[in-house]
Amino acid sequence: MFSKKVIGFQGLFVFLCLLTIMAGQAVAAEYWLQVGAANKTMADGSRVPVWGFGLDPDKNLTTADGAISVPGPTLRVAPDDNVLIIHLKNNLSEPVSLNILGQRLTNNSGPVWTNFPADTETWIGARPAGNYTARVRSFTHETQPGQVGEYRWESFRPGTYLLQSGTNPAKQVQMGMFLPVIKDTAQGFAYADVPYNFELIVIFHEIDPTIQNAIAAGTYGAVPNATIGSSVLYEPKYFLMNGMSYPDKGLLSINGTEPLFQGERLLIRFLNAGLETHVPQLLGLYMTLWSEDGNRLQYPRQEYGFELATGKTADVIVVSPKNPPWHYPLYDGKLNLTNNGAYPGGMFSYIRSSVPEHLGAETVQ
Amino acid sequence: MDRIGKQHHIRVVLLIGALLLFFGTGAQGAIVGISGNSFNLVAKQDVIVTSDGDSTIIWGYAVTNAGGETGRAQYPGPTLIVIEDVPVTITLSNELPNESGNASIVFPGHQVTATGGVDGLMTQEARQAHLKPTNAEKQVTYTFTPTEPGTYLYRSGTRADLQVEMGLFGALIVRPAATPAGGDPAKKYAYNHVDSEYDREVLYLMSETDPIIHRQVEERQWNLIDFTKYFPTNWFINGRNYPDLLAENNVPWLPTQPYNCQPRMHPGEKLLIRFIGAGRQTHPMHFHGNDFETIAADGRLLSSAPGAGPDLAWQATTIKSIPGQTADLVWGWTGKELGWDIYGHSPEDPLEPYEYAPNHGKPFPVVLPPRDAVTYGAFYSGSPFLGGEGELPPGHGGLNAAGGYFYMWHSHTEKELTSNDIWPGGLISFMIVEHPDVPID
Repeated sequence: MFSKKVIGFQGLFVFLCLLTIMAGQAVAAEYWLQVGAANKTMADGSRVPVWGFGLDPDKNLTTADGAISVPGPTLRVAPDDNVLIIHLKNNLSEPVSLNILGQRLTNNSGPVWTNFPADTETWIGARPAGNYTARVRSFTHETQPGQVGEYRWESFRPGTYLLQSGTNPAKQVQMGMFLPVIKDTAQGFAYADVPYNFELIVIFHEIDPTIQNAIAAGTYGAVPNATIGSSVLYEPKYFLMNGMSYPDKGLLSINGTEPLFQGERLLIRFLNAGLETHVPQLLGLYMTLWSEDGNRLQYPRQEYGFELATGKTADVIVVSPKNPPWHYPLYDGKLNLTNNGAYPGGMFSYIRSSVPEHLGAETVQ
Repeated sequence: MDRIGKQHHIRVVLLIGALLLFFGTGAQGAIVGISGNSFNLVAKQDVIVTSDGDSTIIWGYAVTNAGGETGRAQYPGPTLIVIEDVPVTITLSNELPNESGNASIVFPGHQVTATGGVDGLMTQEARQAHLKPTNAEKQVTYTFTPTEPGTYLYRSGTRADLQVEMGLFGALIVRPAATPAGGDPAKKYAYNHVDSEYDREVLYLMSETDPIIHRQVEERQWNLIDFTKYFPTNWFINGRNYPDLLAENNVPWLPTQPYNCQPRMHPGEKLLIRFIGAGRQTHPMHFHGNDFETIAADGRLLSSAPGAGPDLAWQATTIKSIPGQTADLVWGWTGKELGWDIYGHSPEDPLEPYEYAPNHGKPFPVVLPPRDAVTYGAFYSGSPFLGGEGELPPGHGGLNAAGGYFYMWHSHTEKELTSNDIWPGGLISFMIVEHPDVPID
């Protein structure tokens, strides 16, 4: 039996929460999330307003609602759970909703239509009769500002999935409202015949600070005082993996806390939450592409890189070629290696296997 | 009217054959490059020309020959042709202008050992001359053993956004060490499986340039270079854009752009297209005339199991080049189901090789309009028959002397069919299917 050495990038915290839940009863994965505004510091020190998710550890959504992060916390559904429940507190000043690409929301009472551009009246379900100017604002039922909404997925499929805002996604997803949701088929098995020893989650996205500042200032979109009407001239300045870019300390080695010995299997879950296509590329090693969008491929593919379009997920296995220490560059093959014009930066990091203490220190190659 | 040109085509073929005897031709059936297992490269600055009439500063890998003489920088770098399982050594020196940065090469898909030079983000780098490197820092040596045959690329691993944009990339072809099991030693195979057989091969290495960045480099405005504003307007196959890419390899008027892209073949042959995304953009290349089969990606056959061959190959007419990735496509053409006998045969004539028998002797289904009633395309021979010729208006002709069928192979991002806003240019080439009697090699 393989053991999972480390739970993802998002930290031990989520794992412990999950353990607490699982210890109680293994009938459903249940999370209490808030969505709110925050500022995010870029690798060059500049700060950009974001909207993101935080995990409420005391589950009351009234006190200590959890720090906002972009990407949001990793949510896990245990292999024997079919149900995911999210209680969502909306601390933004506009309605929000949730949507997991590739999973069916069971209690969906959306979509929500609105009169455009006034945005003062809403309808639920079908287009209002005779109204040909109404637009869909939210794919799923909304949670209003200050309210708590509930979202239930009652037949949750195994795999790697991207949860996003279902409301005005061009705006809210761009602001950072996304997180990974993961379900294994068994402990240490991403799919029934895809075991792994170690897991990494790598989420690609970009930031255009001009647009995000306008959104935060309320001057984006169809509003009277708009400075930016839409994202049609989207021009990202920051290219991020897990919300960081080179040379952010947390990214420099996106793992490296554990040794990975020869022949051991590293599962990398790639997600693209951005608005642009990226090309995860590994230098010096091949990956076996085992799944796309949570679907195990009938025949896995050997590649050192592949195209990862917006909204997609992919699971790959990298077999450790030797005992530690080793590291191999992992970057965007489209060479988005800039932080607002400055090189080096952007989507560049290493996968790394570190030497356990008793084997001595790692030497830089 | 139904067999225009038939009476002429043999004569044309003989004429072409005679011309070829006198003038020879570039090798059309194989990819031009440098073969061996030891290469000495130098990163240098030079100039390329684009078909809009402009010239652009580039950085490229130049080759130092056995006599120690270094040629001019190449766009793209030399196509390195190596043999499976034979260790490869590549040295790199840095003669880029001051402040251009260190120089390096990465080889995706290969486990490379780098020695010498200085530490870099992705690999060891040859240090810039104006920083007064020690002898050990001046040059870096990359060694690796290509364990699998296939199509690969190499690119700069130093300030890769800028250096790849400037032209520091090239193709790497690994040929199988032996004929695959069950194969014919007289035939060519891309991989270690008989189903990777091909008759001819062509390189499709895609790249692009943003002239503003090249101007900033030329004027040393390093602080203005901003890849978040990247907006390329010139697109290249094998380092040239249309129509320059139709000229021969190594023509003297394109001294830094040695490689053409002019595939030709006979009906029934298999053309291997080695397809490489060397730049930063994707390009949906559309291969008119027939479907291709994608047999490999990133130098690995698309196999359901080891040794199964390309049994997962997929057919399409358009494939997108992915930055930093490669694919191998096999394209063939016989004129099958075209609706007429492409040779203009009479029913009693013998079949040509690979001729589609149900159409043998079938007349051309359209009454051709009089010569002066239509406008002819530049590549029309005057005859609808392969290897044929016909009457053309005065002053027209000469671009299809052997009466071949021209199939436009181009990007379907139509704006890429320009060279800095001048049409036609950019990502256009033509496959020419030639009459079996027209010598190609």
